[in-house]
Amino acid sequence: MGDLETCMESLKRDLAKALISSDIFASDGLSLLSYNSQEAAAAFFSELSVQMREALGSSALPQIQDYYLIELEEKSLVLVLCDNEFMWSMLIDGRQLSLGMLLNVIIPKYLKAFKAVVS
Amino acid sequence: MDITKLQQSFDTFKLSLGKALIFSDIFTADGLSLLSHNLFDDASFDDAKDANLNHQAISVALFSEVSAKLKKTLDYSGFPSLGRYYLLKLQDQKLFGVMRAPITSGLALQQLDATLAKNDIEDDIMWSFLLDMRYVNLGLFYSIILPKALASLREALAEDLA
Repeated sequence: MGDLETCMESLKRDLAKALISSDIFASDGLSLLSYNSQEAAAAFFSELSVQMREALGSSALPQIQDYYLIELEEKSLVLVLCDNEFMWSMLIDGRQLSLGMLLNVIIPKYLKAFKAVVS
Repeated sequence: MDITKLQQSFDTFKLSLGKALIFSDIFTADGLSLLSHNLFDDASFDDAKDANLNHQAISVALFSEVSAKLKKTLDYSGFPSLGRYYLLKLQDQKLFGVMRAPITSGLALQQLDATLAKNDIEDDIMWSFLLDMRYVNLGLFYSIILPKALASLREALAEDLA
């Protein structure tokens, strides 16, 4: 847990005002660590991830690797980093962070740190 | 809906992505495809596929359900509403995405943004795609191809009969 807290604190520093909320949770939907958590976010994204994986599997497509990204209204984004048993969701203000920074810097940096902790 | 414009936007999308676009479908919320493209004639689907099933049609049906659930749950849980697209990074350097636009016949284009959030998914047209990320410049995809496809889709959907 200590290392997950370090990851979360580092993310808060890096994203600053761009980070609206964040949850680290297990695949059963139970939250391990939260920042400004939206109610039921962990349960929702764990259930959604299961449905997406089932849809990909039934379609004989490759499985999710690393992350999925959802564009929301009000120029916000949801990023969910995925490891086997654990997920890390982030609600991001897209006005405060470029997509290039998110895809090329933030995702590789925090995916590596997250996998190192939970694997 | 202007079918010619819809076909044109689909063709432009295919042309822009070339061999990076493995398959793509424009489909309705009931999970049925309006326009479909598969570069490799089902070869994009893995070895576990059942030869008797059309896996592209299955992906359309299942992701219409995923999209509906995503939109309803976002609304229910107090998040901002679903925007224009969602993207899944897959194994083997693949990227799967679904774009959406509302069927809002008769509305001016500038009104569509406001309408997007309010509409039920049942009124949406969705556009799925599977990309091979080895053959696409992501900056080009996010900055030009994706917004252009969405704009042309919405234009096609907003078209009234003369």
